[in-house]
Amino acid sequence: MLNSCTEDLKHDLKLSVDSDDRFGPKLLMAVFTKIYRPSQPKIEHLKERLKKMSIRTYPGENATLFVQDPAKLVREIKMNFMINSTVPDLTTVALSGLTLSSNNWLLQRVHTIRINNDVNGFGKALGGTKTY
Amino acid sequence: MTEDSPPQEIPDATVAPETPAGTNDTPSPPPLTVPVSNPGLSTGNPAPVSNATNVATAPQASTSFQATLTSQQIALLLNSRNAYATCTFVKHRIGGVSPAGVWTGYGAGGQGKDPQSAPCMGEFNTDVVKSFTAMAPVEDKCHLGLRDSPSLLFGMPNEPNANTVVSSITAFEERMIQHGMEAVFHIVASDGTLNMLQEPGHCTLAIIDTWCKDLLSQGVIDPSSSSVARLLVCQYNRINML
Repeated sequence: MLNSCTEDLKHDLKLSVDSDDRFGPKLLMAVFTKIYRPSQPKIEHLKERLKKMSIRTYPGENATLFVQDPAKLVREIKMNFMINSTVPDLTTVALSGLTLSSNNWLLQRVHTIRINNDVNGFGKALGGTKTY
Repeated sequence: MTEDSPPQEIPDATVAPETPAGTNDTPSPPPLTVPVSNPGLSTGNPAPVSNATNVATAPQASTSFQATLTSQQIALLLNSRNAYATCTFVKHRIGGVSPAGVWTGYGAGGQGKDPQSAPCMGEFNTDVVKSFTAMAPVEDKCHLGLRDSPSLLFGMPNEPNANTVVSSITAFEERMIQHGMEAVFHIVASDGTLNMLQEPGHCTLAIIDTWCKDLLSQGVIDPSSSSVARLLVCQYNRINML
Protein backbone atom coordinates (compact mmCIF):
# COMPACT_ATOMS: atom_id res chain seq x y z
CA MET A 1 0.00 0.00 0.00
CA LEU A 2 2.77 2.43 0.89
CA ASN A 3 4.41 1.72 -2.45
CA SER A 4 1.26 3.08 -4.09
CA CYS A 5 1.76 6.50 -2.49
CA THR A 6 3.99 9.40 -3.42
CA GLU A 7 6.98 10.07 -1.22
CA ASP A 8 5.27 12.97 0.52
CA LEU A 9 2.16 11.01 1.32
CA LYS A 10 4.21 8.02 2.41
CA HIS A 11 6.18 10.22 4.77
CA ASP A 12 3.00 11.77 6.11
CA LEU A 13 1.41 8.38 6.69
CA LYS A 14 4.45 7.12 8.53
CA LEU A 15 4.15 10.07 10.86
CA SER A 16 0.43 9.90 11.41
CA VAL A 17 -0.29 6.16 11.44
CA ASP A 18 1.05 3.83 14.11
CA SER A 19 3.37 1.18 12.81
CA ASP A 20 0.97 -1.46 14.16
CA ASP A 21 -1.80 -0.08 11.97
CA ARG A 22 0.28 0.45 8.86
CA PHE A 23 -1.14 -2.38 6.79
CA GLY A 24 -3.95 -3.28 4.42
CA PRO A 25 -7.42 -1.93 5.16
CA LYS A 26 -6.31 0.31 8.03
CA LEU A 27 -3.72 2.05 5.89
CA LEU A 28 -6.14 2.38 3.00
CA MET A 29 -8.64 3.96 5.35
CA ALA A 30 -5.96 6.39 6.50
CA VAL A 31 -5.28 7.30 2.86
CA PHE A 32 -8.99 7.82 2.21
CA THR A 33 -9.29 10.01 5.28
CA LYS A 34 -6.39 12.13 4.12
CA ILE A 35 -7.08 12.54 0.42
CA TYR A 36 -10.63 11.48 -0.36
CA ARG A 37 -13.71 12.97 1.27
CA PRO A 38 -17.06 11.68 0.07
CA SER A 39 -19.69 14.39 0.22
CA GLN A 40 -23.17 15.26 -1.00
CA PRO A 41 -22.05 18.41 -2.87
CA LYS A 42 -19.59 16.31 -4.82
CA ILE A 43 -22.43 13.99 -5.80
CA GLU A 44 -24.45 16.99 -7.00
CA HIS A 45 -21.47 18.28 -8.96
CA LEU A 46 -20.98 14.92 -10.64
CA LYS A 47 -24.67 14.69 -11.43
CA GLU A 48 -24.48 18.04 -13.18
CA ARG A 49 -21.58 16.78 -15.25
CA LEU A 50 -23.62 13.71 -16.18
CA LYS A 51 -26.55 15.85 -17.26
CA LYS A 52 -24.37 17.98 -19.50
CA MET A 53 -22.99 15.03 -21.43
CA SER A 54 -24.19 14.51 -24.97
CA ILE A 55 -23.79 11.61 -27.32
CA ARG A 56 -23.63 14.08 -30.19
CA THR A 57 -20.15 15.14 -29.19
CA TYR A 58 -18.87 11.65 -29.93
CA PRO A 59 -17.86 10.62 -33.47
CA GLY A 60 -20.78 8.97 -35.23
CA GLU A 61 -22.84 9.15 -32.03
CA ASN A 62 -21.06 5.98 -31.02
CA ALA A 63 -22.85 4.70 -27.91
CA THR A 64 -19.99 2.36 -27.01
CA LEU A 65 -17.56 5.26 -26.86
CA PHE A 66 -20.04 7.44 -25.04
CA VAL A 67 -20.76 4.92 -22.30
CA GLN A 68 -17.16 4.94 -21.08
CA ASP A 69 -17.38 8.46 -19.70
CA PRO A 70 -20.72 8.29 -17.88
CA ALA A 71 -19.66 4.95 -16.41
CA LYS A 72 -16.66 6.61 -14.77
CA LEU A 73 -18.84 9.35 -13.34
CA VAL A 74 -21.42 6.85 -12.07
CA ARG A 75 -18.68 4.91 -10.35
CA GLU A 76 -17.38 8.07 -8.74
CA ILE A 77 -20.87 9.01 -7.61
CA LYS A 78 -21.27 5.59 -6.01
CA MET A 79 -17.96 6.05 -4.24
CA ASN A 80 -19.47 9.09 -2.57
CA PHE A 81 -22.49 7.25 -1.22
CA MET A 82 -22.49 7.31 2.54
CA ILE A 83 -25.71 5.39 2.88
CA ASN A 84 -27.30 3.07 0.37
CA SER A 85 -28.45 4.74 -2.85
CA THR A 86 -28.65 8.42 -1.98
CA VAL A 87 -29.29 9.22 -5.64
CA PRO A 88 -32.51 7.47 -6.64
CA ASP A 89 -32.54 9.17 -10.04
CA LEU A 90 -29.01 8.12 -10.90
CA THR A 91 -30.13 5.90 -13.78
CA THR A 92 -32.21 8.67 -15.27
CA VAL A 93 -29.41 11.19 -14.98
CA ALA A 94 -26.84 8.79 -16.37
CA LEU A 95 -28.95 8.31 -19.48
CA SER A 96 -29.42 12.03 -20.07
CA GLY A 97 -26.71 12.18 -22.67
CA LEU A 98 -28.36 9.49 -24.75
CA THR A 99 -31.64 11.41 -24.99
CA LEU A 100 -29.94 13.72 -27.48
CA SER A 101 -29.31 10.89 -29.90
CA SER A 102 -30.64 11.23 -33.44
CA ASN A 103 -31.27 7.50 -33.62
CA ASN A 104 -34.99 7.01 -33.04
CA TRP A 105 -34.72 3.37 -32.07
CA LEU A 106 -32.07 4.11 -29.43
CA LEU A 107 -34.04 7.13 -28.29
CA GLN A 108 -37.14 5.04 -27.74
CA ARG A 109 -35.27 2.50 -25.66
CA VAL A 110 -33.64 5.21 -23.57
CA HIS A 111 -36.95 6.91 -22.88
CA THR A 112 -38.55 3.61 -21.90
CA ILE A 113 -35.85 2.92 -19.35
CA ARG A 114 -35.97 6.44 -17.98
CA ILE A 115 -39.74 6.40 -17.60
CA ASN A 116 -39.67 3.00 -15.94
CA ASN A 117 -37.28 4.40 -13.37
CA ASP A 118 -39.04 7.70 -12.86
CA VAL A 119 -42.73 6.97 -13.03
CA ASN A 120 -43.55 3.61 -11.60
CA GLY A 121 -41.83 2.49 -8.47
CA PHE A 122 -42.76 -1.11 -9.14
CA GLY A 123 -41.29 -1.11 -12.65
CA LYS A 124 -42.82 -2.16 -15.96
CA ALA A 125 -44.74 1.04 -16.57
CA LEU A 126 -43.95 0.76 -20.25
CA GLY A 127 -42.70 -2.81 -20.36
CA GLY A 128 -39.25 -3.96 -19.45
CA THR A 129 -37.83 -3.99 -15.98
CA LYS A 130 -36.78 -1.38 -13.53
CA THR A 131 -33.08 -0.62 -13.82
CA TYR A 132 -30.94 0.52 -10.93
CA MET B 1 17.04 -55.80 9.00
CA THR B 2 20.04 -54.19 10.61
CA GLU B 3 23.44 -53.63 9.18
CA ASP B 4 24.84 -56.49 11.18
CA SER B 5 22.26 -58.96 10.11
CA PRO B 6 23.24 -61.36 7.37
CA PRO B 7 22.11 -60.34 3.93
CA GLN B 8 19.00 -61.94 2.61
CA GLU B 9 18.44 -62.51 -1.02
CA ILE B 10 15.00 -61.43 -2.09
CA PRO B 11 14.57 -62.22 -5.74
CA ASP B 12 11.86 -59.69 -6.52
CA ALA B 13 13.75 -56.75 -5.06
CA THR B 14 17.15 -56.98 -6.66
CA VAL B 15 18.39 -53.62 -7.89
CA ALA B 16 21.45 -53.25 -10.04
CA PRO B 17 23.35 -50.04 -9.24
CA GLU B 18 24.09 -49.31 -12.89
CA THR B 19 20.44 -49.22 -13.75
CA PRO B 20 19.53 -45.74 -15.08
CA ALA B 21 17.48 -43.56 -12.81
CA GLY B 22 14.50 -43.79 -15.11
CA THR B 23 12.08 -40.93 -14.91
CA ASN B 24 13.68 -39.35 -11.89
CA ASP B 25 14.79 -35.83 -12.89
CA THR B 26 17.29 -35.43 -10.11
CA PRO B 27 20.94 -35.91 -11.03
CA SER B 28 21.65 -39.58 -11.25
CA PRO B 29 23.47 -40.78 -8.19
CA PRO B 30 27.05 -41.93 -8.49
CA PRO B 31 27.56 -45.63 -8.84
CA LEU B 32 26.17 -47.11 -5.71
CA THR B 33 28.90 -47.20 -3.10
CA VAL B 34 26.74 -49.26 -0.84
CA PRO B 35 26.67 -47.34 2.41
CA VAL B 36 26.30 -50.37 4.55
CA SER B 37 26.18 -48.07 7.51
CA ASN B 38 22.90 -46.85 6.07
CA PRO B 39 20.27 -48.68 8.05
CA GLY B 40 18.22 -51.11 6.11
CA LEU B 41 20.43 -51.24 3.01
CA SER B 42 22.47 -54.32 2.48
CA THR B 43 24.49 -55.76 -0.35
CA GLY B 44 24.98 -59.19 -1.64
CA ASN B 45 28.57 -58.91 -0.56
CA PRO B 46 28.80 -59.38 3.19
CA ALA B 47 31.57 -56.86 3.64
CA PRO B 48 32.52 -55.81 7.15
CA VAL B 49 31.55 -52.40 8.37
CA SER B 50 35.10 -51.11 8.39
CA ASN B 51 35.43 -51.86 4.72
CA ALA B 52 32.25 -50.04 3.96
CA THR B 53 33.57 -46.92 5.59
CA ASN B 54 36.63 -47.09 3.43
CA VAL B 55 34.54 -47.47 0.34
CA ALA B 56 32.50 -44.42 1.23
CA THR B 57 35.55 -42.22 1.66
CA ALA B 58 37.57 -43.64 -1.20
CA PRO B 59 37.40 -42.25 -4.72
CA GLN B 60 34.34 -43.60 -6.43
CA ALA B 61 35.12 -46.46 -8.70
CA SER B 62 32.87 -47.92 -11.32
CA THR B 63 32.74 -51.28 -9.70
CA SER B 64 29.47 -53.03 -10.02
CA PHE B 65 27.74 -55.28 -7.61
CA GLN B 66 24.23 -56.08 -6.65
CA ALA B 67 22.23 -54.57 -3.84
CA THR B 68 19.08 -56.15 -2.61
CA LEU B 69 16.23 -54.10 -1.29
CA THR B 70 12.98 -55.23 0.08
CA SER B 71 9.91 -53.76 -1.51
CA GLN B 72 9.30 -51.89 1.72
CA GLN B 73 12.74 -50.31 1.52
CA ILE B 74 12.18 -49.27 -2.07
CA ALA B 75 8.93 -47.64 -1.10
CA LEU B 76 10.68 -45.83 1.72
CA LEU B 77 13.36 -44.54 -0.62
CA LEU B 78 10.85 -43.36 -3.18
CA ASN B 79 8.78 -41.63 -0.54
CA SER B 80 11.80 -39.86 0.86
CA ARG B 81 12.61 -38.42 -2.58
CA ASN B 82 9.08 -37.34 -3.33
CA ALA B 83 8.19 -36.13 0.11
CA TYR B 84 6.74 -32.85 -1.25
CA ALA B 85 4.11 -34.79 -3.19
CA THR B 86 2.45 -35.75 0.06
CA CYS B 87 1.97 -32.19 1.32
CA THR B 88 -1.65 -31.19 1.47
CA PHE B 89 -2.91 -27.68 0.94
CA VAL B 90 -5.74 -26.24 2.91
CA LYS B 91 -8.24 -24.29 0.87
CA HIS B 92 -8.36 -20.87 2.40
CA ARG B 93 -11.14 -18.33 2.76
CA ILE B 94 -10.99 -16.78 -0.70
CA GLY B 95 -9.07 -18.69 -3.32
CA GLY B 96 -8.49 -22.25 -4.37
CA VAL B 97 -6.13 -25.10 -4.88
CA SER B 98 -4.79 -26.04 -8.28
CA PRO B 99 -2.26 -28.67 -9.35
CA ALA B 100 0.38 -25.95 -9.24
CA GLY B 101 -0.37 -24.98 -5.64
CA VAL B 102 -2.52 -22.61 -3.63
CA TRP B 103 -3.84 -19.37 -5.06
CA THR B 104 -5.73 -16.48 -3.52
CA GLY B 105 -8.40 -14.09 -4.71
CA TYR B 106 -11.72 -14.50 -6.46
CA GLY B 107 -10.05 -16.02 -9.51
CA ALA B 108 -10.35 -15.42 -13.22
CA GLY B 109 -13.59 -13.67 -14.00
CA GLY B 110 -14.48 -13.75 -10.33
CA GLN B 111 -15.59 -17.35 -10.71
CA GLY B 112 -13.18 -18.84 -8.21
CA LYS B 113 -12.17 -21.71 -10.47
CA ASP B 114 -8.79 -20.67 -11.79
CA PRO B 115 -6.28 -18.11 -10.53
CA GLN B 116 -6.50 -14.66 -12.07
CA SER B 117 -2.77 -14.67 -12.82
CA ALA B 118 0.51 -16.22 -11.74
CA PRO B 119 1.10 -13.64 -8.97
CA CYS B 120 -2.04 -14.96 -7.27
CA MET B 121 -0.14 -18.05 -6.22
CA GLY B 122 0.42 -18.28 -2.49
CA GLU B 123 2.38 -21.49 -2.36
CA PHE B 124 3.62 -23.92 -4.96
CA ASN B 125 3.16 -27.64 -5.02
CA THR B 126 6.79 -28.55 -4.63
CA ASP B 127 9.28 -28.88 -1.84
CA VAL B 128 9.74 -26.05 0.61
CA VAL B 129 12.93 -24.59 -0.82
CA LYS B 130 11.71 -24.58 -4.41
CA SER B 131 8.41 -23.05 -3.36
CA PHE B 132 10.22 -20.36 -1.41
CA THR B 133 12.38 -19.54 -4.41
CA ALA B 134 9.41 -19.47 -6.76
CA MET B 135 7.52 -17.14 -4.42
CA ALA B 136 10.20 -14.44 -4.50
CA PRO B 137 9.17 -12.85 -7.84
CA VAL B 138 5.51 -13.14 -6.85
CA GLU B 139 6.13 -11.26 -3.62
CA ASP B 140 8.12 -8.63 -5.49
CA LYS B 141 5.18 -7.99 -7.79
CA CYS B 142 2.75 -7.86 -4.89
CA HIS B 143 4.91 -5.38 -3.01
CA LEU B 144 5.33 -3.16 -6.06
CA GLY B 145 1.91 -1.53 -5.73
CA LEU B 146 1.39 1.28 -8.22
CA ARG B 147 5.06 2.18 -8.21
CA ASP B 148 5.36 1.40 -11.93
CA SER B 149 2.61 3.94 -12.74
CA PRO B 150 3.82 7.21 -11.19
CA SER B 151 0.88 9.19 -12.55
CA LEU B 152 -1.53 6.99 -10.59
CA LEU B 153 0.14 7.12 -7.20
CA PHE B 154 -1.94 8.35 -4.28
CA GLY B 155 -0.71 11.84 -3.52
CA MET B 156 -1.12 14.64 -1.02
CA PRO B 157 -3.81 17.25 -1.79
CA ASN B 158 -1.15 19.73 -2.84
CA GLU B 159 0.52 17.37 -5.29
CA PRO B 160 -0.20 17.04 -9.02
CA ASN B 161 -1.77 13.62 -8.44
CA ALA B 162 -4.44 15.08 -6.18
CA ASN B 163 -7.06 15.14 -8.93
CA THR B 164 -6.55 11.51 -9.91
CA VAL B 165 -7.70 9.92 -6.68
CA VAL B 166 -10.56 8.04 -8.32
CA SER B 167 -8.31 6.77 -11.08
CA SER B 168 -5.77 5.74 -8.46
CA ILE B 169 -8.38 3.82 -6.48
CA THR B 170 -9.57 2.10 -9.65
CA ALA B 171 -6.02 1.21 -10.65
CA PHE B 172 -5.25 0.01 -7.14
CA GLU B 173 -8.31 -2.23 -7.16
CA GLU B 174 -7.34 -3.71 -10.50
CA ARG B 175 -3.84 -4.33 -9.22
CA MET B 176 -5.17 -6.07 -6.14
CA ILE B 177 -7.42 -8.27 -8.25
CA GLN B 178 -4.54 -9.07 -10.57
CA HIS B 179 -2.45 -10.19 -7.62
CA GLY B 180 -5.22 -12.01 -5.77
CA MET B 181 -5.22 -9.67 -2.77
CA GLU B 182 -8.61 -8.04 -3.19
CA ALA B 183 -10.38 -10.18 -0.60
CA VAL B 184 -8.93 -8.30 2.37
CA PHE B 185 -10.67 -5.14 1.11
CA HIS B 186 -14.07 -6.83 0.85
CA ILE B 187 -15.50 -6.38 4.31
CA VAL B 188 -17.85 -9.09 5.50
CA ALA B 189 -20.18 -7.97 8.26
CA SER B 190 -23.22 -9.58 9.80
CA ASP B 191 -25.48 -7.31 7.73
CA GLY B 192 -23.76 -7.79 4.38
CA THR B 193 -20.56 -7.14 2.51
CA LEU B 194 -18.81 -3.89 1.67
CA ASN B 195 -16.19 -3.33 -0.98
CA MET B 196 -13.81 -0.73 0.41
CA LEU B 197 -12.47 0.16 -3.01
CA GLN B 198 -15.86 0.72 -4.61
CA GLU B 199 -17.81 2.16 -1.71
CA PRO B 200 -15.30 4.03 0.43
CA GLY B 201 -18.04 6.38 1.58
CA HIS B 202 -19.58 3.56 3.61
CA CYS B 203 -16.38 2.85 5.53
CA THR B 204 -15.89 4.03 9.06
CA LEU B 205 -12.98 3.52 11.41
CA ALA B 206 -15.11 1.25 13.59
CA ILE B 207 -15.98 -0.98 10.65
CA ILE B 208 -12.35 -1.19 9.58
CA ASP B 209 -11.13 -1.99 13.10
CA THR B 210 -13.68 -4.75 13.48
CA TRP B 211 -12.81 -6.13 10.06
CA CYS B 212 -9.10 -6.23 10.82
CA LYS B 213 -9.75 -8.01 14.10
CA ASP B 214 -11.90 -10.53 12.28
CA LEU B 215 -9.23 -11.12 9.68
CA LEU B 216 -6.36 -11.51 12.08
CA SER B 217 -7.74 -13.05 15.23
CA GLN B 218 -11.45 -13.74 15.50
CA GLY B 219 -12.17 -15.19 12.08
CA VAL B 220 -14.37 -13.79 9.36
CA ILE B 221 -18.12 -14.13 9.63
CA ASP B 222 -19.34 -16.92 7.41
CA PRO B 223 -21.70 -15.23 4.93
CA SER B 224 -23.23 -18.54 3.91
CA SER B 225 -24.25 -19.39 7.45
CA SER B 226 -27.58 -18.25 8.85
CA SER B 227 -26.17 -17.96 12.35
CA VAL B 228 -23.19 -15.78 13.23
CA ALA B 229 -20.69 -18.53 12.61
CA ARG B 230 -17.12 -17.57 11.92
CA LEU B 231 -14.57 -19.11 9.62
CA LEU B 232 -11.13 -20.09 10.82
CA VAL B 233 -8.43 -17.45 10.66
CA CYS B 234 -6.74 -17.73 7.29
CA GLN B 235 -2.98 -17.23 7.20
CA TYR B 236 -3.15 -15.75 3.71
CA ASN B 237 -5.29 -12.88 4.98
CA ARG B 238 -2.41 -11.76 7.15
CA ILE B 239 0.10 -12.24 4.34
CA ASN B 240 -2.02 -10.24 1.90
CA MET B 241 -2.56 -7.44 4.38
CA LEU B 242 1.07 -6.86 5.28
